[in-house]
Amino acid sequence: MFLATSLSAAYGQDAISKFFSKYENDESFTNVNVSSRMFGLFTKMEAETPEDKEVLEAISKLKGLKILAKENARNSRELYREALSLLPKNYEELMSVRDQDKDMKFLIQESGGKISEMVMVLGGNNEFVILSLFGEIDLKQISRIGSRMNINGLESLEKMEGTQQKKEGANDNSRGRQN
Amino acid sequence: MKAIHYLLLTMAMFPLISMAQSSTTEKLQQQYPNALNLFFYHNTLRMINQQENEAFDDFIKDIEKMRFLLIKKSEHLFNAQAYADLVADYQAEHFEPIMTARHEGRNFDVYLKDAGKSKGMLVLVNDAESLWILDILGTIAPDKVGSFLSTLDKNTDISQKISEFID
Repeated sequence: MFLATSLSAAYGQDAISKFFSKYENDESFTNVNVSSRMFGLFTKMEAETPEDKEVLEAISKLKGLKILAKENARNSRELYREALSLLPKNYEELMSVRDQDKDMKFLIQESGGKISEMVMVLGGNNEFVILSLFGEIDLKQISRIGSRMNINGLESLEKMEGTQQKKEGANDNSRGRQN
Repeated sequence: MKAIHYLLLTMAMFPLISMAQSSTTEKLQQQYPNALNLFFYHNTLRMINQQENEAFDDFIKDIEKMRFLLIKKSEHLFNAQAYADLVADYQAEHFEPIMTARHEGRNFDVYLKDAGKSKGMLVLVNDAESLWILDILGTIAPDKVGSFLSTLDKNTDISQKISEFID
């Protein structure tokens, strides 16, 4: 009974476990898993700039990365909807992008004020990607992490950073005027 | 030019047992003596890169030595159980998995062994036709592993460079 409850709880914690279990053995999908050991290696890399050092530190706090992707997928929009429907309700939407070619959603799970998982789901005209990044996630560094590790899709979060910086700038100006 | 090729080829293929990075790879080569088995030093790898591809130079930057073993499944009996046993043997040698990927029927498994100053990395590329093993003394930079695997999967892959080099 205890074992069953524990397994059920552990399963529920991983947002895309259900989706992964369903499709990870499907050879039409590209499947990538990166372990925490790999992220740990980044701590040993030499940083050339302070910004680089911050990114490497942020990467070293990650615990894992899973990606499922399908190219030339006629059912990409269907997969996109299915993946989103399987995400538990406690995932907060961080950003969504919609353009002619694709829909993207970024969702996060927070616990104790820290982001413990970020999920990206992309449904394009003929491509589908779901990505789960977990560990201790620094959102300020996330697009740089994507760029440093060559993870396609995360560069979209630069838009969010830009928006955040503009908001912060606006708030600073507003406070400046008030003072 | 051809003489240089022969010289490099001799250097690359000279069977230096002391260069064997993993006893599992060594044992596997003994089990499959007809498998293509090549050894490379860092400088030999640089010489392979005759087109001076900067990305390739980046991949091999921290590689001291590399053994390349290619088992063609049509010529040898190598099934899924043999692969599972091989992975178990590597793990018994303290190689830890750092990344796995599957793309278009080709499986990539990357393992790392960190024994203080000396580091080892294994890249296993397994598909229906063949198994390639890159047994590396040294490492490929972690931010380059993904693009390295991508390179292995494209026409500009290492096997092609090796084939071109041998021809």
